[in-house]
Amino acid sequence: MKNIVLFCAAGMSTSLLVNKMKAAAAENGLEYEIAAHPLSEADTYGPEADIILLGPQVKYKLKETQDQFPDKPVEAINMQDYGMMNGANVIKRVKEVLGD
Amino acid sequence: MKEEKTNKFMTFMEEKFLPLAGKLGSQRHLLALRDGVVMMMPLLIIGAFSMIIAEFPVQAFLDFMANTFGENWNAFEGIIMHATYGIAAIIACYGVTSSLVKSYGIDGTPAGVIGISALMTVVVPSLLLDGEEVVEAWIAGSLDATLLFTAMLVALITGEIYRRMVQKNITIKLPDSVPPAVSAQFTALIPGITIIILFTIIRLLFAKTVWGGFPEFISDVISTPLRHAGTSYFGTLIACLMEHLLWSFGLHGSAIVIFPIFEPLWLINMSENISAGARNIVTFTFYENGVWIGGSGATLAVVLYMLLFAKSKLLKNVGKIGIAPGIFNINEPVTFGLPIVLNPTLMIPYILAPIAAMTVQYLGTAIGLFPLCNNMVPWTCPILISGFLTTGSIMGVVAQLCGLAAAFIVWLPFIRAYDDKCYKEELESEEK
Repeated sequence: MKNIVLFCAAGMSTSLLVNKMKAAAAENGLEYEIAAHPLSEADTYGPEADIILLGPQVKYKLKETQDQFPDKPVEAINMQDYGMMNGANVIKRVKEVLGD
Repeated sequence: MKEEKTNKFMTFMEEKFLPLAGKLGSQRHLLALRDGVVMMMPLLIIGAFSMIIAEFPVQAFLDFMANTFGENWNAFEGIIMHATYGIAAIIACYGVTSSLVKSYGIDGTPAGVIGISALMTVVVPSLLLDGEEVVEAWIAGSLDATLLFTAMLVALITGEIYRRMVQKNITIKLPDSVPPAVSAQFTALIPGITIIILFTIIRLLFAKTVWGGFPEFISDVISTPLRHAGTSYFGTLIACLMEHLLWSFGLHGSAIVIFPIFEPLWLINMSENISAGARNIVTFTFYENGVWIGGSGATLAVVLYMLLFAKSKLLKNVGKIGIAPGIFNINEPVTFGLPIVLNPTLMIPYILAPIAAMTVQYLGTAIGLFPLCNNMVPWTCPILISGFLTTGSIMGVVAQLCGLAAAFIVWLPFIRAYDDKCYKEELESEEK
C-alpha cells in the first residue's frame, strides 16, 4: 500500500481529482491510498507520504516543499491534467516515479 | 522583440511577484481572519432565507400567508434575523481568535471564548428606560456585522496575547493527576484575566474621548473610511484587477485578496443596508454572485461559447467538462485546462470580463434599474437563482444576465482566436 498525498490551496478543488485518481488506480489494480489536504497541513500529512503532489495553485511552493521532504519525491501536477481532471494521467506519472 | 518582452514580464512575475503574493496568502493573521469570518456564513444564509420568505415578492403568496396564519405571520423574520445577522460579530470574534491561536498549535476553543468576552467588554451597552429606572442593555441585533472590524481587531489582539502567554508558560499548572479537561480550563485563566483587564482599560479610556467608545473609534477612524474607499467603484475595480491578475498566474487570487480583505467590508455594507436602510451598491453578493459568473473571470461565458461554437477538440472537451462545475461557479477545468493560467491570449479577457460584468451591474444599480444585493447567498449558488435570492426581485436576475452578456462580449474575440489557433494546430498534427 503506497500513500499518495496531494496538496493544494484549500484542499477543495483537488478532492475532485482525487476521486478520478482513485478510479484510475483501481482500474490498474494499484494499491494506492490517495488523499488531498491544504498545503498548510504539510507538517501533518507530508511525513507519511510516499509521494507528494502539488496542485498548480501552490506550484510556487515546490522548492520549499522539496527542501522540507528531501527524501521523498515531490512534484507539481501537470496543469492541464489538473484542469481536465485527468486522473489516469496523474496516476501514470505516479507509477513512473514510484517504479510500480 | 515583443515576445521577448512578454517572456521577461512572465519570468519577473513568476520569480518575484508570485512568491510575495503566496506569502501574503499564507500569512497567519490574514488566514485567521479568512477562516474566522467565514464561520458566520451559515447564520447569514439562514437569516437571508427568513428574509426572502417573509418578504417574498409575490403578492398572492403574502396574501395567502396573511389569510391563513394571520397578519403577524412573518414575525419570525425579526426573531431569526436577530439570532443570526444580529450576532454575526460575536461569531466572527470567536472564529478569528480560535483560528489564530490554533494556527500556533494551541487549543483555540478556550481562547475563542475569551475573545467573545473581550468583545463584550469593549462594546458599550445602550442606556434604556425601564419604567423609572435607567438600565444598560445590549439591544437585539446590535452585535451584527457593522461591528465586524472591532470584532476582528479584538480577536487578533486577544489571540496574540493568549498564545504568547501559553507559549511562555504563564499559566496555572495543575498536578498531573488532574484530568486534562479540567486543567485545560485553568490554562486559559491567567491569559484570560490579562486580556479582560486590558480591554476594560481600553473601554474606560475610550469612554473619555470624543468617540465615546472603542467600537465607535474603530468605525470612525478605520472601518468607515476604509470601507468607503474599498467598496467604491474604483476600490471594487482594484479588487477585481488584483484577484484576477493573481489567478492568471495560477495563484488563488480570491483566497489572497478577496476573502480576508474585501469580504469583511462587503459584509458591513450589507448589514448597513439591512439594518440602517443604507444604499451600498457593492456588497458581498453583488461581487461573489454578480462578478463570479461561472467562477472567477466570469468564465461561464467561455464555457457557453465552447459548448455552442467551438471547432477545436480541446475547447469542445473543456466545455463539456467545464459546464457542470461551471453552473456552480467552479472553474478549475477552464482555468487550468484551456489553460488560462500563464496564457497571455486568455489572461487579458480573464481580467477584463469580470470588470465589464461588474461595471454594467454597478451602473445599473446606481441609476436604480437593478435592486441592491442584500441577502446572503453562497457563491456556489447558480446564477439567475442567486440573482433572485440575493435581491428578492426578478430584476436581480436581469442584472446577472446583463453581466453575463457583458462578459461574453469581452471574451468573444479572444476565445474565438484561441479556438482558431487550437483548431489549426490540431489539423496540422493530424496531417503529420
